[in-house]
Amino acid sequence: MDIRKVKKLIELLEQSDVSEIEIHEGEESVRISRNNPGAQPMFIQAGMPPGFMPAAAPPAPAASHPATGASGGVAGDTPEENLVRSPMVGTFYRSPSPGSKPFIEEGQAVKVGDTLCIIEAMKILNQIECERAGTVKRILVENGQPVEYNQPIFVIA
Amino acid sequence: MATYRQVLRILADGERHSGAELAQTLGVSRAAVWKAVRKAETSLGLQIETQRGRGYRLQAPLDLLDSARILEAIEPSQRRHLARIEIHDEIDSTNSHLMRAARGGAAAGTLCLAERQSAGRGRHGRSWVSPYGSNLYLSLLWRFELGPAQLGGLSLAAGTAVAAALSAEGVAEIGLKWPNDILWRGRKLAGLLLELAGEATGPSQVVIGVGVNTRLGAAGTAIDQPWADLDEILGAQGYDRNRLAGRVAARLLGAVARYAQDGLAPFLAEWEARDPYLGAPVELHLGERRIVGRHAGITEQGALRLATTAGVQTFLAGEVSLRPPTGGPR
Repeated sequence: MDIRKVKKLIELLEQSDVSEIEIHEGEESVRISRNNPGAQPMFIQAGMPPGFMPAAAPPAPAASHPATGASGGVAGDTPEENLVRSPMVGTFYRSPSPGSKPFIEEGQAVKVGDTLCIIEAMKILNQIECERAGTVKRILVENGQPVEYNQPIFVIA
Repeated sequence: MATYRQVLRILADGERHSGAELAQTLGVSRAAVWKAVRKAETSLGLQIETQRGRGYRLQAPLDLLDSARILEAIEPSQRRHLARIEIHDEIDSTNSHLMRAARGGAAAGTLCLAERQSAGRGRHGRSWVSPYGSNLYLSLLWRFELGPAQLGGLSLAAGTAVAAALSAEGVAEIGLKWPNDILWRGRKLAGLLLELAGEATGPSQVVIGVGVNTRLGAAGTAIDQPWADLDEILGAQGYDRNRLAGRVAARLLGAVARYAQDGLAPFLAEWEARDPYLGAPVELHLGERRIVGRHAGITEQGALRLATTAGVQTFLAGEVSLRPPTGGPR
């Protein structure tokens, strides 16, 4: 990165109480830290992978599902622990965009943290993640259909 | 940096530069300059005038993204909320990138911008037209202790933030259409797309994506609804793309911090002040259903209140669009 630009960035950060910031422009990176006297810029060599991308630890499994409502219908005889319920009112989407591959298919193995579907509410796309590893036994809602709060959407066992 | 990118940095001023000058500045052959210019044209869709013996000139100057100028436009008190600024020449989608980064542990306060998106997205699956070197494609990653259910109003809060940034840049007559279209004289000027992942009871990670039309040019013909851009509203010299990026980022940083504390309530007055449909008869499309009523305001959860013949109903979810009945309220 151009040294005049690095200097400018340091000046801008000195005016605020930023302790550390990373700037990436195209292939160039700089990390500016104020922990050291004089806010010495640390250069990160071009081509190095971004620093924040270690293999993600899978999120801890959630303690339990939300309270069971009247389940009924197709999911009525399925053990509660095998049901994935919609956490909100919204529209159910199986794929990230129309025409693209669905996140999951019936028969597929899933692990904790996998994205199962998107539920759109208020134009917020909520990625619903798998909280329990298993196999997708059934997909209970059609793509593009509205879902209610707590409605069963998948059977995963 | 790829040669074509270096060439573009020089041509961005919109002046004519000779092949010999470019070759000397960059320390490459004139043939390499010629190839780089062709690459900029074919892969970025830019129009570069070439005159034999006289050099190259961009058809219109480009104000390329610059981290220092963006940071400068963010008030010093807000800068500390930023952990990282990423500026990409090209990316699939700034939102998708940050959602991936969030899974890898990226910090709250990561800001991502791109000169071009190859798969820019709007509302579910619709594409967001993203030509190179103009407009804003900006996303901010934030983390909340709250669960997704409590973040339903965040897109409205973010909408008021973007409207305020545009207003500070000199755009008058900004309208906010529920739930999150930003309009100028009824035409789309900017849009938001929020993506969220998290446990039901929190914490949640949210990526707030903002697209602002500054200069759509020929790319605008691909858009299937009435649109406006800042070139039309303020003139090409009337705004600064980097300053606008910084202002949008600063307002978003302020909005997420406030929302985490107080929810949507403090944003409602500003929303309603900019909502041109408030009090007007509207038609709501909910899947196959159409509900006609009068827009009776927004609840603290971000739901639309509609006064219908059956009383006041509130609407939160689904593929909901809001359209004035034939003729429009204004």
